[in-house]
Amino acid sequence: MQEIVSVSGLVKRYGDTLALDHLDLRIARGEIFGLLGPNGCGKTTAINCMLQLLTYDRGSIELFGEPMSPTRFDLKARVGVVPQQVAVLDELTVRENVDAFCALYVRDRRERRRLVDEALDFVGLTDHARQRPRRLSGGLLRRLNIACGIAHRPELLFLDEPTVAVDPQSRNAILDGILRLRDEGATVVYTSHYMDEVERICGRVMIMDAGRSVAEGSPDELKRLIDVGEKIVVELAPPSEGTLSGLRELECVRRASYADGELRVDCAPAPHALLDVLGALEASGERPGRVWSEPPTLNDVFLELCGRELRD
Amino acid sequence: MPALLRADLTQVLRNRGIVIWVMAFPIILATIFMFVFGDYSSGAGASAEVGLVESPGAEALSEALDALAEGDDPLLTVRRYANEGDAEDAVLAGDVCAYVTVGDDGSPRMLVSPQDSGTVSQAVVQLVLDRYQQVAATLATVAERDPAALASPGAAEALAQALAGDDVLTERLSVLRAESGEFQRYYYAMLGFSSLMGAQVALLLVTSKRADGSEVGARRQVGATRPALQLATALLASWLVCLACQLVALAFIRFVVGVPLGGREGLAALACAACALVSCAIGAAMGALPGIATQAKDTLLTILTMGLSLPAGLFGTPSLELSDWLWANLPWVQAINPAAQAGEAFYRLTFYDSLGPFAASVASLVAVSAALLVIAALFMRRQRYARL
Repeated sequence: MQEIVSVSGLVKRYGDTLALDHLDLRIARGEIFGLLGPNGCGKTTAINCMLQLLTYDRGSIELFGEPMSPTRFDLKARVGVVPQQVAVLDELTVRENVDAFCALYVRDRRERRRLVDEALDFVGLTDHARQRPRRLSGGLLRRLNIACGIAHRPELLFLDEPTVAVDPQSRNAILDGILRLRDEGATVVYTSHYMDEVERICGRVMIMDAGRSVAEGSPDELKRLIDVGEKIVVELAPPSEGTLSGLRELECVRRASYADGELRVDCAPAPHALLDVLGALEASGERPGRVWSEPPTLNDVFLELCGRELRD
Repeated sequence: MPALLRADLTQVLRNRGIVIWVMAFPIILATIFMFVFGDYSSGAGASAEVGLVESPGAEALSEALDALAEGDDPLLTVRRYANEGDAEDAVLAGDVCAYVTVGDDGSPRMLVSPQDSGTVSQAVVQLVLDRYQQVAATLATVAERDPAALASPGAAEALAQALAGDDVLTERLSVLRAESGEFQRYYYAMLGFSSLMGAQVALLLVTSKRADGSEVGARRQVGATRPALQLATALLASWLVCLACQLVALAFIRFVVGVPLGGREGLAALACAACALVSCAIGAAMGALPGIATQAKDTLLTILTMGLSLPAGLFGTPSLELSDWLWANLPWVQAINPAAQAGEAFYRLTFYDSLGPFAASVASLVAVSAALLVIAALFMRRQRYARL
């Protein structure tokens, strides 16, 4: 499959701070690629380097199989950007904003009018086309931000945390829209701190920390990388200490604790963890109520790889 | 490019700060000037009230004073008193600024209150009496040396009237091609001030095109249109808006306020074009300054505008005196001050016969603009792909 983005050995320094440490990245046509990492890990720096907004100290960047440079306007014409902060003009209406940014890519007025109409329809802002941005809610502003980035129908789209501070309905609409863009042939680079979103839409994910890639693969592949299994929750009357000790002695159990009428058991990856836990409870004479099991999530992977301590 | 230009123009014309400070403020300032200076002008024509003690021998002086008390804008208001006591009471009460009597030798005497002497009105009366005595003495000399000249009826009166006029021995000459008013320089200085205020337009647009200036700028920089073309469009839009604002301000002070341009309105529009160019260049240079937040640049621009307008003569008499002193002693300082050069361009255009001085001012404005644009380009080039 054709590589749309190819980054090799990218190094970027801010003085003594190493923002990108020999980053390698390959993104194939038609995929939604998730870029994850804690704040300051280098996600936005990497994107800005790819977009040639930032110089870099070493490495190479190719888009669509060709070397990217600040003056490759032919390549830039095939790229769309939705920045982390809403970047629109307060003085222009919704339609004028989309048209103004689309005009950086499309000269023909009629063609642009069609594209603007489609973009507004795509993000559901047609009814708000004549409003100024300051009259829009946070969710609508985010959708306008997206419309400005996709109106020219880019083949490669960078979305930098597009769902920050939006309500669940707007977020759902945005994620559905991104999937539709993918279905229409776009390649998407997506950064977010919401693991459930990434798990839902991204085919492949890279987790970055300190400017480096610490893991890469599909969400399932990443989950298999870490030593974390399912989480089992059992509604139970307060168990005896012997019951908890018995559970903790099971090979598949990492942690077992009881609080607020619920027994919580964190398991290591094992094929029959649920059966083993329920068997141990039965053997101890306990009478479980409702039982449910949660498979490991990308969030577990993220915390396992990047640590649980707070970052600056 | 038309779409980019349209977006830039829309952005500027809907920006509240630009509408208030660049478009409306020069008109508001000119209106304030009009009312303030109008009051001064009307105040200068108030007549001096003087008392005259009626007595034998005072008829000629009485006629002379009455002649100056006639018309729509009389120099004097004459009040007559039967004796000196009444006249003195009137002076002490402040009803008149002075009173006049005629002595036995026929010469007039002016008496003022010791508590209120040396006023402008008293100086006017004194001047009138001096002129009256000069005319009387001249008539006496003519009567003595050439009695025939005064023999015909009305000859003495005609000669007296001729001698009393301003244009007997003095020919009024003007080195300026149009009549200069006391307050016109303020309006020209205001045009210079407004050209600096216009720099806000270019500052806004350049900032919104630069990756290091704003989020919108960063977004535009990753677009498929060359940054140089985007900046050129921004400068063109800035120039058009500033030119329109300057022309509106010029039309206002010319046709509403009545400030003359010496019949050279077309060339005044050319001066506006040069002023608009300066606005763009200052805004571009300010917008390209590295490492300064947009709000700080706004503040810097305001300080710069006020600072450069001070030696341009906008802020009253001391400011005008400073302007004159700088022109006389440090002309190069004024030559590189766009506010001073802009005001001077309109002044020279209106009052000088030769267009050379006007052309020099316009050339100076263009040169300053070119220098600022080069500085802006160097700044922008240095930061082209630098850290955001």
